[in-house]
Amino acid sequence: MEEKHIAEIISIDGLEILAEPKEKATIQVGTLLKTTKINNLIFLVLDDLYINMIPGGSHESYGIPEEKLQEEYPHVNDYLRYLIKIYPLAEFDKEHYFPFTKSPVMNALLYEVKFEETKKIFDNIFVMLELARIDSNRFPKRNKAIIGLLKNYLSEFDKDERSERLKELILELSTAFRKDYASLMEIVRGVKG
Amino acid sequence: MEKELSNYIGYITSGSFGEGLTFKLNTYVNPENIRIGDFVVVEGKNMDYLCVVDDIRLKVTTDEVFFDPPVDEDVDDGIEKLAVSSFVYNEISIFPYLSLPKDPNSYGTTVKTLPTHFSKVRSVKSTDFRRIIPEKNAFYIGTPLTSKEKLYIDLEKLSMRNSGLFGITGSGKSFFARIIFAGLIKNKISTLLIFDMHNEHGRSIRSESGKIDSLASLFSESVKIFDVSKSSKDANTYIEIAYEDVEPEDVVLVSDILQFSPKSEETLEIVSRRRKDWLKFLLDEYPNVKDKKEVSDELAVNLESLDALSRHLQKLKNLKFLKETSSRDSIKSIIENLKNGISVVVQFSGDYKDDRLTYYFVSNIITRRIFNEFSNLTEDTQKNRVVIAIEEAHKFLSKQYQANNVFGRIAREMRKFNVTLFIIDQRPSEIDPEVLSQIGTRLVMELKDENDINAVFQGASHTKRLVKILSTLEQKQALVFGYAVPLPLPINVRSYDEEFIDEMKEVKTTKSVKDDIY
Ligand SMILES: Nc1ncnc2c1ncn2[C@@H]1O[C@H](COP(=O)(O)OP(=O)(O)O)[C@@H](O)[C@H]1O
Ligand SMILES: [Mg+2]
Repeated sequence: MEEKHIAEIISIDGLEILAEPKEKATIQVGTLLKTTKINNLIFLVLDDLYINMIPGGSHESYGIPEEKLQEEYPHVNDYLRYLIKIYPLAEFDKEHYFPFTKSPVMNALLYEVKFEETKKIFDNIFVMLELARIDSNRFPKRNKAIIGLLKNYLSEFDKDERSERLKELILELSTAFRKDYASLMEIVRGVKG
Repeated sequence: MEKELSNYIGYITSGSFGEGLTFKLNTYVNPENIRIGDFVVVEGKNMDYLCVVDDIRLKVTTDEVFFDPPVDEDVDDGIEKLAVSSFVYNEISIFPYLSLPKDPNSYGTTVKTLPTHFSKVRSVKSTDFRRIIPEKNAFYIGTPLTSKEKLYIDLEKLSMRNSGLFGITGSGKSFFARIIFAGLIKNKISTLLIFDMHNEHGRSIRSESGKIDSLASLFSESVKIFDVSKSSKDANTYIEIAYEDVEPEDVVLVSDILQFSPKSEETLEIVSRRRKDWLKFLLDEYPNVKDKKEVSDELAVNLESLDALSRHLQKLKNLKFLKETSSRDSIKSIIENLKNGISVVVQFSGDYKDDRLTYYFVSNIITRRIFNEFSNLTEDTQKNRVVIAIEEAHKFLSKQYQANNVFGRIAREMRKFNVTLFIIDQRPSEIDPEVLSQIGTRLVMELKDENDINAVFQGASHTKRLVKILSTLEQKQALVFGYAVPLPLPINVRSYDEEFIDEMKEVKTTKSVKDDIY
């Protein structure tokens, strides 16, 4: 049975890649998504945001958090678009995962990445280096995304295996973030907590 | 892969001839397993380098670590500590003392080059240590501080110059000395004259595991015991000393124990110049003289001073072995034994046990006779090398006495007559620096006093780094450096036990044929 996509790429500007979730479904920061058609890329969700489609429109004027807007003022649905910011983390050639080389394409459909595949992705040490390479000035929620990603991943293991895996991950993180002590500690504390 | 790598503990990051080398310790090696004084080998391209650990430094790549340090292991099972493992590392300073050519059959040479960046550092193997000293001269004295390979000394070289064995009481000097003595006798390298102050080198010795054999039992053919006390059951010969063997300098040496008054020394000098039989006169005759004033006038000395001198000297009357005339010349007998290659242990038993007066007095008298005898020999006639071992050496070799004392003269001149000193002392700072700088091989055990520590390095190189090693030594450990070893060796002194004794008693049949030629 053909799997259903959960989002679609709608804007590409260098590494600023935006996708729109299907039916405004919330997709959490730190989720992995993949494309499977023209090229096989794995993405990490780095942020989610609302775009106002009215030129010059400013939904900030309502003075309440974006998540509450739809509840209190349902009409905003007509002109607010819920989007996610995604970042290419790896590429897949049916056998191996490796740092991405191909560019994503517009309107590519994005699919969920299952745990079995996540495990395979994490077997590659370059993934940690790629995570550390994401510019946190451009993507301020990077660390939060990494914490989410690792926590989700670890939560799938049973208790004993989880602490083993945690230690391995921490060592890999330590190497990858050897130039950024503050981020490392933020992530480690987020993940272990 | 793990197994292959585990021999390597890091790689070279910097270095210079003056400061030595620095290597980064591999992350998986716990720095607590490395101590100052350990040996490591650096594998260079053309050469390996045998090095000793000088210092260990804990380093961080960023100060941020200090502002937000990881929590303790017991809080989070070590997760945060694991995380900072890329930000902390350990740097080890080592000093290369010996180059080991890549040919495993050749011996080490002095260091003239440095290894390249990233040369690998590994722990030492016993085969590395066998390349320090040529096998035929190598005598096993101990193991490295934290491992079990054998370390050797060149006894031939040791006996060619003066040696010093220093350490506080209880550090293990006497046991270490006995190991060296046994090696010298067993390998027929030199004949020993041991002034055995505490009766430890004769027939047997009390150790942690009960009574065990000492030198005269190990080598019954080539070691004889001479004792000043007739109560000794171990002695081969009892020592008698005739008045005529005694010189004023022997008395002056113990003047503090005899409680000389300020004028006594001067009076002694005058009396001994005027009267050949000065000792008999002062000990036996003068106390019975009726008209003491007349005698003192005759000698041109002050009456009270003469009175006092004679009175102070009466302590010597307690020495039963001191005779007006001696029926047999036991000192001559000691000299004959030494000339024939028989080692002599001079013991002080019975009433003389641990008696300093007797020890200094007798050692000085015997040694002077030997000095006079041997300095009349030409280099060809004196074949046996003789090593004279003394404890409490600072007494003889202090600034005050050494210039005129016979031990001082031997320390300075006797190499050409094949006589050298083996000095054992717990207060090296009281030995004249001039004598200290004449010491070729130094065996230094635990020392606490700063002056003593500085003294043992008198005239030595690498002082600064060796001081650090010395300060970490404990009982039964020693830092051996100087002429008899091509690099400083921090060691656990091997045990003087049944195993050692069996090894010494074992007859080497192949070697003895050759040795008999001598
Ligand atoms: N190499 C050794 N083998 C066996 N026991 C030793 C050794 N060195 C020291 N000891 C033990 O330590 C004690 C003190 O050593 P000793 O040589 O008498 O010290 P020192 O002469 O420096 O006062 C000895 O009585 C002995 O029990
Ligand atoms: Mg002793």
